[in-house]
Amino acid sequence: MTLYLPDDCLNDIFEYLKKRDLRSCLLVSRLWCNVSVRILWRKMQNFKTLITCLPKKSKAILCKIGIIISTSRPSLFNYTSFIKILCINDLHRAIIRFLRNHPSTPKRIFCIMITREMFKMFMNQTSLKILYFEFNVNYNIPNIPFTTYPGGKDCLSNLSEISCSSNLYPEFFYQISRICHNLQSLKITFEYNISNGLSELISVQKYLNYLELDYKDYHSVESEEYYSFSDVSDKSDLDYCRNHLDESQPLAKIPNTLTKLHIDGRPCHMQLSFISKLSNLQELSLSIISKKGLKEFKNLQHVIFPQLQIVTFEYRCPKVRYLINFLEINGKNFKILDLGKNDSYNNSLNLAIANFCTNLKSLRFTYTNTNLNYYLDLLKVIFKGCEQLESLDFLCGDCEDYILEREFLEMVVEFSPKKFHELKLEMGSYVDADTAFQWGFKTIFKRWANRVPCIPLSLTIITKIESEIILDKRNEKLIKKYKKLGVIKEIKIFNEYHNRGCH
Amino acid sequence: MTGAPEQRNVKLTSSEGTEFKVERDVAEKSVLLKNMLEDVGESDMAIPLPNVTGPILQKVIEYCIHHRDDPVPAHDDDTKKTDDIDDWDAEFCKVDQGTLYELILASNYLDIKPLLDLTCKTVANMIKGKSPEEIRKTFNIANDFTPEEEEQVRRENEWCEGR
Repeated sequence: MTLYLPDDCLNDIFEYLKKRDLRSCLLVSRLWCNVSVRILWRKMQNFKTLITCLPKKSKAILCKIGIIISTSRPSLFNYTSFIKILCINDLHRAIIRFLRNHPSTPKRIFCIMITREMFKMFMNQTSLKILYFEFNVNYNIPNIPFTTYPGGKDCLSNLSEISCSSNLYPEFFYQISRICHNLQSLKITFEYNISNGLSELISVQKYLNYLELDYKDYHSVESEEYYSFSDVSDKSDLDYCRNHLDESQPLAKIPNTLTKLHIDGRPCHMQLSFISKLSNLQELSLSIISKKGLKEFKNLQHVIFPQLQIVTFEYRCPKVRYLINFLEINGKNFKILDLGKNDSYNNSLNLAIANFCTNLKSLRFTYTNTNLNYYLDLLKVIFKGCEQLESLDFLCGDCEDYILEREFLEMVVEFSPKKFHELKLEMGSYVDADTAFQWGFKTIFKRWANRVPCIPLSLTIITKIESEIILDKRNEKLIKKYKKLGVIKEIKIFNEYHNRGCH
Repeated sequence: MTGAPEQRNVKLTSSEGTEFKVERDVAEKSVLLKNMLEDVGESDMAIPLPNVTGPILQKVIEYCIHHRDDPVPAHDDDTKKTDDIDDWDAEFCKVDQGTLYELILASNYLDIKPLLDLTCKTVANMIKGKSPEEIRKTFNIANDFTPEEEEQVRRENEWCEGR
C-alpha cells in the first residue's frame, strides 16, 4: 500500500533536511521535486540555471553585448521566485566565474550589465527575507541602485534580516532605510569606513531585536596596534583615530525593541554607554579580546536591565569590581553567565555570583589560576548559592597546567544542586591518560545514581587524549549500562580545543 | 499532580466511532481541541474526530499524556535540528511507516506542534544520507519522471557553485 503525504506535510519534513539530502529529494518524484525545490532554492543554487530565468528583455540586452544565454528549453521552474535569501557577494562571485568562461574582454562592464539585469529580476519577482551584502577589497561589487528598481519596495520591505558591512554605498543605506522597517535582525561588519546612512537604517527599525556588531576585522590595517590600541603613543596614530573613529555615532539611535546585543571585538574609541539605554535587553554578549576594550564596562556597572538573562563575556571578563556591582543589581534574573577569562578571579566575585545570581542555570568560566583548591572552593560556594544551576562549563584558557578532573568531578557529584546535570570540562595539555582515567567513571556514576532525584548526567570532556583511550571497552560498557539505568545521558569526548562549542 | 483538582474529562470520538475519555489538559495539547473547548465551554458531548482512526488517536493520546507537563513550546526556532529526539520519543516513533504517516496527518489536523515536529523529524532522519533510488524504495514511491525531465532536474540543479 502506498500512502501519500500532502504537500504541506512533506514540506514540514523537508524543512529538516540539509542541502545534500534535498538534492536527493528533487530526483525522487514529481511531487517530491515540486516541494523540495522551493526549499532548496530559497538560496541561489546554480547560477547557470538562474541566468536562464532572466526575462526575455534582459536576455536581449545582454545578447546585444555578446552575452548569449542559451534558451534551448525553458527551465522547469521559475527558480528566481523561490529565492528568499540573497547573498549579493555570492551572486557577484558567480557572475565573475561565469564571465571567466566568456571570451570577451571588458569584463567590468559585462559584470555591471549582468548584475543590473539580475537585480531587475530579483526586485521584480522575489520577496526577500534575508539579505547579505558586504563590501570589501575582495568584492568590488558595482554600485547599482537596485533598491529603486521596479518592485524593489515589495521585494525588500519584508526583509527580516540584513547582514552587511559598514562601508556600503551611503545611497544603499539611505534607500533601504526608506523601504525596510521590519528587520528583526541586523548584523554589521565594521570595515575601514562607516558610511553615512547606516545610523539611519538602524534607527528606523520598528521591531529590531537582534543586533550584532562585528569589529573583528576593523582596523585590520593596523592589526598590530589593534590589541593595544589605546596604548598608542604615536601622535599621528591618535590623530588617525580621532579622524576616523566615530563608531558610537551609528549606534546612538538603536531602537529600544532590542533584546539581544552581540559585540565582537571593539575599537577603543567607542563608548559602551549606548548600551545603557537598551532597557529591554535580555541577552548581552561582549566578545572583546583587548583588556582595555572592556574598560568601558565601568559605565554599565550601575545600569539596571530588568530583562537581562543571558550575559556572556566570550574572551575576557570586565574588572571584578565593576562586575560585582553589575551582578548585584541585575544578577537575580540571570539564567546564563559566561565569565570568560579573568586573571583576577577572586573570592569576592565567587561570593557575588553565589549571592546575587541565585537563579542562574548555566555558568561558564575559563580558568587561568592554577591552584586547584581555589576552584574547588569556588565550586562549593557557587553550588551552595546557585540552587537552580543545571550546567557548568569549565574551560582552561592558555593555562598549561591541568585540573585534576577526579577531585573536580567528585565535588560536582557531591555538592552540585539538585537540578544540575550538565558538565563540560576541559583538561589541560599535560594530563597523563593512564592516571587520568585509571579510576574510571565507575565511582562517579555510582554516586550519581544515588542522587535524589537522579537527573541523567551529560558530561563533555575536552582533552588532547584520544577518545578511544578514555572510552576503552571497559568504560564503554560502563557508560552503556548507566545510560540504560537512566543515570547517564551522554558522555562526549572531544579531542580538539576548537570543538569546545558554545552553550 | 497537574491541573486543577476538578479536572474534567473530555470525550473524543474516532472515525469509526470509538469513544476516548481524556483529561482536559491532555486534550488541550491539541490547539484544535483547545480552541474548540474554549468555544463550546462545559459540555458532555463527545467531540467527533472523523479524520483520525481509533488506533492513531490512541497513540496521539499516549503522546499527549507523556508530554502533558511540557512547557508550551516557544515561538518557532529557525534552527531545525533532528538529533534532539529523546529516548521515549524515539521509542514512540518506532512504528510502521503507515502509522507514522497517519500520525503526521493527525498531528497536523489536531494541531499538536511538538508531535508534528517529532514525526517529521523521524521521517527526515529516514531520508538522510539516502540516494533518490534508496528513498523511493524506503517510501515505496514510483518514479514518475520521464527520463528527459529527470535529466533536466539534474542539470538545472547541478552542483557547480563549489563553496
